[in-house]
Amino acid sequence: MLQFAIIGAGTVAQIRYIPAVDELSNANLRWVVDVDERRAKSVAEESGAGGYATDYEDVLGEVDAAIITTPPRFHEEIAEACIRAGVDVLTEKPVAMSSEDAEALVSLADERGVHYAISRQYRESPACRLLKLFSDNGAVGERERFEIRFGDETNWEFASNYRLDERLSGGGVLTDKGPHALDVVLWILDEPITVESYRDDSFGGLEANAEIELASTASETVVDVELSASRNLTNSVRMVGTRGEITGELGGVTAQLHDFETGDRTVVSPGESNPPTKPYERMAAQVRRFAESVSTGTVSYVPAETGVTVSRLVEECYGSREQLTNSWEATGMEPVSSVF
Amino acid sequence: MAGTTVFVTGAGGFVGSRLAHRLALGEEMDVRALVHNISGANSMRLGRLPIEIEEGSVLDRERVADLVSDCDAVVHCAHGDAETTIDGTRTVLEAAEQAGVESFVHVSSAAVHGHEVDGEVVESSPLDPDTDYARRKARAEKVVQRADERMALSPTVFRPMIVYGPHSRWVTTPVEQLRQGTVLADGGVGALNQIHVDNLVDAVVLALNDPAADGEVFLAVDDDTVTWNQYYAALGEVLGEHPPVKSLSWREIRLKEKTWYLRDSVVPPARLFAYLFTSTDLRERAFSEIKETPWAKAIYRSLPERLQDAAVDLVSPDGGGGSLPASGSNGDSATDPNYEMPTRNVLRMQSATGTLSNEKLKETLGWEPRVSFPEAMDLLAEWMEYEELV
Repeated sequence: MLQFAIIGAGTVAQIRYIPAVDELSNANLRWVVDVDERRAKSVAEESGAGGYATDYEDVLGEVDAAIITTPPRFHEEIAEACIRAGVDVLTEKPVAMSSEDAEALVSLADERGVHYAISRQYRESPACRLLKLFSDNGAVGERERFEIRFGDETNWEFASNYRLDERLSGGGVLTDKGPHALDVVLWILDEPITVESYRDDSFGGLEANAEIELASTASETVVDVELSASRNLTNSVRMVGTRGEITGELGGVTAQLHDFETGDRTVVSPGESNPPTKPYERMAAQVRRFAESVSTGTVSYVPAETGVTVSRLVEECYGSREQLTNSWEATGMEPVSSVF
Repeated sequence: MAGTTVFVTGAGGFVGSRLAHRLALGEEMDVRALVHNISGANSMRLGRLPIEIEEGSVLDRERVADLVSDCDAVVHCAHGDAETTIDGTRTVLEAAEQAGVESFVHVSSAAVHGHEVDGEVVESSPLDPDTDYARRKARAEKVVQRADERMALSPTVFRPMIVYGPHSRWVTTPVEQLRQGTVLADGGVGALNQIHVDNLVDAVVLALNDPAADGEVFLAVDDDTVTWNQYYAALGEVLGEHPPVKSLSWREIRLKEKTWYLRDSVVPPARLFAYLFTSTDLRERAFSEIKETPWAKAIYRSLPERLQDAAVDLVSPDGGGGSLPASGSNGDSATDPNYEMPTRNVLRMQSATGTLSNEKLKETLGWEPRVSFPEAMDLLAEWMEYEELV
């Protein structure tokens, strides 16, 4: 049996990762680690884990693999300690707070021969897989345009308020949701991407909404990404080509193929018998792949290396930032003393 | 004014968050925002601002005293259950007095005059709070008034009725009701008595900077006379195709209420009896059934006010709903299964033709509404599209 540790026992660990580890037949949740001792204890008790700890260093000698679900600020130091201790790692995004640090960590894992995986649940999404399939097999013709809209109110209760603390979160919606969307873009297009423009609605704090325009250099596909932490958007993916388009919900089970020549619209379903339909199922699929790789030595997870490219794109976005201002927020902004 | 530090309570709410936005970016003030729960869309929007965000309760005396200690002004928007609304107001006032702040603005509600206003309401018109929410707000105002008498502090009180604008539940709930199909009492001839959130913020900022506002109460309402019917029509136009809005006379409304009375008095006890034998989460479900029955309501009405609030808090953790329109209320199952019936106080407002006066606000503070109703609706249309509400 593989021995697992969960490091960071917040909401995502409780509702997603721990139940996913529970389902594994070849692994056992040995330790729950959290800086908050009460949380570590109660989560360990509820999940039936072997024990709890407040310092991850104390448990690394007793586990085969660790899942890192702390606020982003701590991913890097924890991953480094795991890698140095020879513990395989599945990390929540981002790998590190900068692309440079991410790259160094990935090299370290390579040197040490440690599995270093990153959580990318949308690669398990049947709709995204279909989009990739039909974009790769030429069903839509030459690719012209790719759009992703990804937004929700992030309305679960956070165990700690790291989201609004830039030191802990590292940024707003681009940092939080951006990696998921950018990874889908890089994975589906599978070619180098550059940032054409980037706008967000930060006014000196953390952005809640962001609009990114990207371009792929080889196929000249125009990519539009819209992200929101404050709006419940219809989360969607859409690939338009010369012959047709394929659309779907970001986490959807099916996709719609529209053939421009015949005008036919077809609903396409995945070939697998029980495709993941819920966020939890996508997460569980990733945890399964990771555990399988740890036990067999093959690599079927998404390597943390992909996080380096994603981090570079995020940095490029922030580097070319323009202000996004909405009309209803811009109104009434002249100081009251100048109006009355 | 730049260099001023303002403490805003209830900053996660609709008015509080827009106020924080405008104070920080428009007025270039330093804002310390108190939010009772950092999660969800409001907090994410607030997080965009160059302000200090503190999570906590207005009932936490030490914390509030600490947060106010170095502030120049306080705007108190927080409200909730009886304790939060009434005791919370006392806590914030005491902290402000202790800190010696220069100005204190308390955001109350015109609901303290009742929801069924007649003729022209002015600040000195009698108080007639007719819902739990209005009673809580009236009692919070009493706390403010006593502070004005006994403390060095001279708080300013604002009484708006319907505050609308992006993110207002007075926009999102009607839009949802319109989409479902909804009812207007008496054809919605009542005056909306609305104020755009930016116009309310203007009034608050003026009060913060003008000693003439000290110790005064102001009704806050825009100039445009808009009926409920016109408001729903304007929202309906933005929404596009939707079921027609039905008008019900009060005779019809009362008739329906009688049917509900029968349904509510006979069915829940029968269900409750069934739960006794079948349900594992008995207590929770029993509470939710019991509190809706007329006999429970009658017992409730006979309780002293203090106990009434305690009872409401006991059975509804969200604090009993306030005066906002509740969605998912009694459906008109006889004819249109999906039609939404607004709550009674909203129905009363829809047919009440009385208007609030903004004369005192204009004369004392020189306030004028900067955003007109047509402009506001244009902006709302853009916002609703952005939020995918249409």
